[in-house]
Amino acid sequence: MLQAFVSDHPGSMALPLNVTDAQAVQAAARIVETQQGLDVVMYCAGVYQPLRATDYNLAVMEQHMVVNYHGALYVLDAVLPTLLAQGHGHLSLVSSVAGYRGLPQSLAYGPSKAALTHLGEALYLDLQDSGIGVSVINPGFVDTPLTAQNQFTMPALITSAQAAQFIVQGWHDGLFEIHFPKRFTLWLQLLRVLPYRWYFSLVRRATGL
Amino acid sequence: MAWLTPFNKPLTEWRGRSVWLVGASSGIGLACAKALHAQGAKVCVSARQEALLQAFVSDHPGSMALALNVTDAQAVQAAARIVETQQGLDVVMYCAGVYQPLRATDYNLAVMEQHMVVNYHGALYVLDAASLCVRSSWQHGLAPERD
Repeated sequence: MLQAFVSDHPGSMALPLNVTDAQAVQAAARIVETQQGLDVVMYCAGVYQPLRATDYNLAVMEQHMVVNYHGALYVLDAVLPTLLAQGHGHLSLVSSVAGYRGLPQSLAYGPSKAALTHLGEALYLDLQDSGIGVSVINPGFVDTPLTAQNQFTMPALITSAQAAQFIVQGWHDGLFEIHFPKRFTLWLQLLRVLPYRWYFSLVRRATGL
Repeated sequence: MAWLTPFNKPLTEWRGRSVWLVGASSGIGLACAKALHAQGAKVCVSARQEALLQAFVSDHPGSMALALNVTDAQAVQAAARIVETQQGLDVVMYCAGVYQPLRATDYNLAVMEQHMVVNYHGALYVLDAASLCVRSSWQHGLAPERD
């Protein structure tokens, strides 16, 4: 898949990598750094499997954390020293509106994205004076392999090409949180600030779960 | 009034209730263990430091201690089985936690991971062990009869 991308996009390069292998991430970062330099790093590796507490599965729980969060920790470990030394660069973490608050079916995925968003917030505060930009990307439903397994009709579904446009525009505008499509994410941002009693009741009504 | 009903069934009567506190050798966990023991709960305290746990048990008759490293999923399973058998499992409190101030400019992967492993993954192991307890007790028709 990576090689197909490189064939279609002259001048690009590919490095197959398992993000859960910290040493492989280190090695890859060194190669990228040497061969093309490191200005922007985007972490979009992620898994998603619907899971409810009544079907609790430890392996699924851990896998989500390892790929969605710990992988980002390995990437940070590999690139932060370089970015700090060069005094410029940008880190972008692809999180999710599912990380705002707890949702049904989101037992494994939600906490991993909540952690990632929180990581991005802390990075922003810590790196502001070092000349390193940080952004967190919170997509709504995007038509990707990851969401293909959803059984329900996804509201405000957009294509991955549209998502890329929103993201590039967000970077262009210097945003911290890049969320889209707004006709969906603004509702979730409203839900995020409601008292728990209202939040739980609205979510149960909306999802029937 | 739906708006005034509590989120959960209120835990009002602690006498005879079995509580497992994980991360109870100090701080909030220890304080809660003391408070619940005073209310008559059957208390089991877990943490890494056995000496601290034994001191609690000596001071609180009827309580029990199980030394445990929450980052060891199998040890958590084993401990849950013992608590379940010896005193039952009504309330589980996860209070194990580490905290070390850290800024991105001093990024340290080991510290980052340690916080996740103790503060989050440990809770996942306890959930795994506790949910098994609930399921197996239901399967054996031993669902708690209280309330």
